[in-house]
Amino acid sequence: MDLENVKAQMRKGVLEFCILSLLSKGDAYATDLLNKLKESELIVVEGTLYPLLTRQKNAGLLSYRWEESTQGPPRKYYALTEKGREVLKELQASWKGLIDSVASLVNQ
Amino acid sequence: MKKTLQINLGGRHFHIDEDGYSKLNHYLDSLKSHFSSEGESGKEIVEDIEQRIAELLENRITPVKQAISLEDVQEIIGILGRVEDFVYDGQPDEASKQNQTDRRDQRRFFRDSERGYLGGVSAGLGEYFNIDPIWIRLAFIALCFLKGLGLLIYVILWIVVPKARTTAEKLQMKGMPVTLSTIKESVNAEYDKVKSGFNTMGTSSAAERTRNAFEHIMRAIGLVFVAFFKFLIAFVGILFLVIGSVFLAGLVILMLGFSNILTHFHIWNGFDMPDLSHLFASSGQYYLVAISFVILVLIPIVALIYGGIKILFNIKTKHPMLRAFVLTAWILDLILFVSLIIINSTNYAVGATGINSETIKTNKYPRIYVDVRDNTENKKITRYSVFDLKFNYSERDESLFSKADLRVLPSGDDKMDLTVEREVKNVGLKNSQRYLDRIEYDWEQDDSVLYLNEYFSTDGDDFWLFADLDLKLRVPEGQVIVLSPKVCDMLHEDQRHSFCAEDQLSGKNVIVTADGALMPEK
Repeated sequence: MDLENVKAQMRKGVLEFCILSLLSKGDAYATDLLNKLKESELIVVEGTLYPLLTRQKNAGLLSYRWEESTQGPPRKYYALTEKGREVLKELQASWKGLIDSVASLVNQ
Repeated sequence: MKKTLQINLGGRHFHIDEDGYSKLNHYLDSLKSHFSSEGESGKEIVEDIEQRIAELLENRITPVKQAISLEDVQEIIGILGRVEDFVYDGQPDEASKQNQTDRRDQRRFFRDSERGYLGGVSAGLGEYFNIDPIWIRLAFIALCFLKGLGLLIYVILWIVVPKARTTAEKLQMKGMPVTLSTIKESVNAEYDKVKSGFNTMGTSSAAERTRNAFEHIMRAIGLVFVAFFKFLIAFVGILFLVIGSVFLAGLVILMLGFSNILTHFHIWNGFDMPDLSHLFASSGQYYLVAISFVILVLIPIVALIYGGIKILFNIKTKHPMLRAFVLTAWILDLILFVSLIIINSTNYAVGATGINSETIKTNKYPRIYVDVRDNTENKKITRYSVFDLKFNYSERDESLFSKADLRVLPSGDDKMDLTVEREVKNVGLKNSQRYLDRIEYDWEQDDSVLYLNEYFSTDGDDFWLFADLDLKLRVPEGQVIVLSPKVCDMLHEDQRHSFCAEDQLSGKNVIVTADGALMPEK
């Protein structure tokens, strides 16, 4: 078993879930997301976020719009699409289920 | 002066140093080539990242610092991470493998404060060597019994080795186990780096052709060279550590001797380490000299150990301020030490003599007998010689016994007396009386017999005094004396030759002539 690979896959799954959760609380641009994810140590290197965002957008979970900024060029603001919301709900349910089953398994 | 370039990144303009630019360019190229397989969205990802880089660079521009430097670029690459560090689902197997070889490549020794008990040194070493930290803790504790060496090494590592603060550093701390195959991998990775360095040098087709020819030769040479170089570096590191540790242990032993903490600690053929404080004008000066000496020796030792650790564990921290400070401190300390020694050596050469004269009652005795008592009998004497100096040391009395020197002289009047002259060298003027008093010598008169002790004694700690004792027996003209054969051993050289060897006057009646010769009584 390739432990690094398993870890990477786990982290990636959780990260995608977290991005959707963060965006469900309001639209944000990449740096906002980065700050929150780094605060909770979910992200080691910032570069990880960008491929995930683009892929989620391509999957139709996210949409973005350009917004003028008071400092510097316009920023890319991401928002959850209807599909994104549905996926998030599903993920929340399965996350909860996963936690409960793992907890019951570990506490046996 | 540095050449700067102007670039447009994420819709913003920057001035950037040339080396910073080439590093940034290289980085962006690696991103582009990595995401190129994903077509349009790959481009989008790179653009988003460029945007972020621009944002981070902008934060580094200040009114006093307008241009982006190489350090800025390196820092930003650290924040964003290299492609191999990204968590993504491209080719997971390949990616994680790459990830690990790279990590092994740049693995660093950090202190792991999260898993550690004290400073996280053991936990960090455990990560580095991929073993359970409990063994390292046990090793440290075991080393503590070697005169506290373990504690000392631990404290030095605690100070020297940085703590893993960022998440990236925490990841760097961990690595793959060191096996033959991983060593091979790391060597290969190193070789690839050298090769890519060649690649960027020329892009013409001619260069490409020669490169192919070079490739096979380079691979062979590169493998040998890299392996040899790594071995050499590790060897130098270990050498530094060993030399430093040996000196450190020596210094610790010396310090213990200096302060006489362990008085039972017998070095120097059974003598305690001398309390050198007598050598200095005051105890304050002595401690100053001792402290400045310790600092003088300790700084290079610690520097040696620090350098060894840095080489061995590939730590690349630079503290120019600290280095300058330590160097200045060392030079100042050297000046202080040398001046103290010079100041103290001026009174070191001073000696002193104490003269004490006592009258001998002649009472018209026809003869006065002079006999010698061996006062080292039953003292369990051990004889030591250091170069041509001889010491008779009594373990029981903790005293040194040396032979007294006797001269028989004419008194010039009708009185008879014995003068005891004590002499000490190597003491300051201040201390002379104290040491003179510590020289013990006894003699006694029993009616017409004088009993002289053969030896005088000094404190065992004072062997460096080179104390001396001269006896002068002054005899009135016409007074007959009888010297026992044992006196020969004590007599001053001039008289010993004439008295003991040739004339065989011992045990016979002799008189002292006006010019100091011993003659048989007529």
